[in-house]
Amino acid sequence: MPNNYKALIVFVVIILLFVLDIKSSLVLTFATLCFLLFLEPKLVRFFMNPGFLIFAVVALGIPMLLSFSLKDLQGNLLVLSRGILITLLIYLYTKNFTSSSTYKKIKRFLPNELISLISVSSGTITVIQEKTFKEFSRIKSEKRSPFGHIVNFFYTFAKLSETISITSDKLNSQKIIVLTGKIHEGKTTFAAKIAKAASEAGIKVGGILAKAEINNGERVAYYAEDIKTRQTKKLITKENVKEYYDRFRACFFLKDGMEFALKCLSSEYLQDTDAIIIDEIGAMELEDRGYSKQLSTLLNSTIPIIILVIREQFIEDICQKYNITSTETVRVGENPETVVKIIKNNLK
Amino acid sequence: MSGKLSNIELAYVATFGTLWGVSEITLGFTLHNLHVPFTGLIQTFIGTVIALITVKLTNKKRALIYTAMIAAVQKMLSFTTIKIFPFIGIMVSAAVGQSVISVLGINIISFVVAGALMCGWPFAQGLLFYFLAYSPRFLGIYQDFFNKIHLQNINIWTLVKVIFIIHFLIGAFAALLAWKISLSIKKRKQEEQHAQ
Repeated sequence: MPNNYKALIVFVVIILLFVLDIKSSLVLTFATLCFLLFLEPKLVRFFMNPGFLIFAVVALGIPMLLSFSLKDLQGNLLVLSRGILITLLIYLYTKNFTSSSTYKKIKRFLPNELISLISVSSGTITVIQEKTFKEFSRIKSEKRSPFGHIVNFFYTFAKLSETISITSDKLNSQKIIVLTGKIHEGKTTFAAKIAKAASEAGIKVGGILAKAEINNGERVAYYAEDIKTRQTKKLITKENVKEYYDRFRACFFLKDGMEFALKCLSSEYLQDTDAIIIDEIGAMELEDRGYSKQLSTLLNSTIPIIILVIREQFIEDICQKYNITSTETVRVGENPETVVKIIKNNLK
Repeated sequence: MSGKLSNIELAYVATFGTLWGVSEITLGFTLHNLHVPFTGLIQTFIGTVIALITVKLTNKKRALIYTAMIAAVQKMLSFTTIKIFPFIGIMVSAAVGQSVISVLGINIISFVVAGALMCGWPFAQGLLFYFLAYSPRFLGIYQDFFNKIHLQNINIWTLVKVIFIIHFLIGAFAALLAWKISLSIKKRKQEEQHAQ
């Protein structure tokens, strides 16, 4: 379930709490909390850490001790659960912080240095939340002085900063080359030539090519070729099949072929490559399907060169969707050696 | 100690600023909704520790205001509406600390002074708001209340001064804590480098 929907559910519940009586509110809050903890299991660890439990006992216990009344206990319980729900709402909302419309409106007025700081920080929000949960759960298992725990907590974030810095240095130097042309103009053949020329020049190339099977002048199927090993598997068929991974217009994406292609594009598999070719990125990736996840991961990886095969009409939309700001565009028909030169220059 | 922030310093500012922002958004919101007293002080204490650690680890004076800026922007945009008061609160408190660090440099004395003033700000902001909203005479209402419950011995101005001193002391403690944590982190990093 997308975070926006989860956030919306919590928001509606919070509104309802102001209308309902105490008992119904408590039941509703409890049900919502269970529902959210089921959807976000990581939160269970957060609410089970000793710090939070002590805080909850104090928040409930002190007013209770002062008044000795059951009604007050219910009231305090409600206030506490409402607080937790609002915290959850913020947690869910901050996950999508930079994509919010409010931020987009404000962005225009902010200086560039601050925008880059915010984008780094929003990228680290999830990591920070996860690390915080981990650190809290480690308190139970590791025997240290309270000061030792605090130092350890901040030390984790100091290390995280160093990792971010190294990654962003490498990310800044990532070169994206777009191979483009019209439909059936020979983009895959051109990409294959580049892969061959680059390999001959000693460049470690990975990725996949989508080679067509032509029958009576018509493209009836596509095969995914792993550039690293030259292994192939049938990826797309235009015949009607019962079992398939995904369907896009007349094309059926076969389960085996798609799993093979996704494995070939996984960052672990491509760890030691200098350049990767993805043939091809298009309408499906604009709908978050196809190689969308792999593409996002690779664009945030430290692989120095990424070559994307994109049909002319999709370049602008793809660049906008995946936040690709700088590219080198090469048209079908140009000399493959030109691309090899670009790759070599960027690897230096 | 001056000049532009390098990539690694920016990463420190972004990470620690986000840490402060996340604490403001989640813990701050919960405490505020639970009507826990001195929520502002608790949050500023956490923020002061985080911001001063960033200054010491990056060894850059301006890291303080940048860290606060990240936290303040996140807090401001953390809900569907734009909240301007928490933004102003964080930024003014950071500006106070920043001016002290800029004048006195990065040392334990400047940290203690900056921390004390940063933590004193939430109370000063509250007082300022009441002064503007109800005129300076609002303190008289409190004095009348004390007189009515037969606590004539309590002078409202003395009480204000005592609360301020408590805030300053807590701020100074936050600064000392930040100083000690940063030294421990630096020591641990050096030990790790030697081990490698």
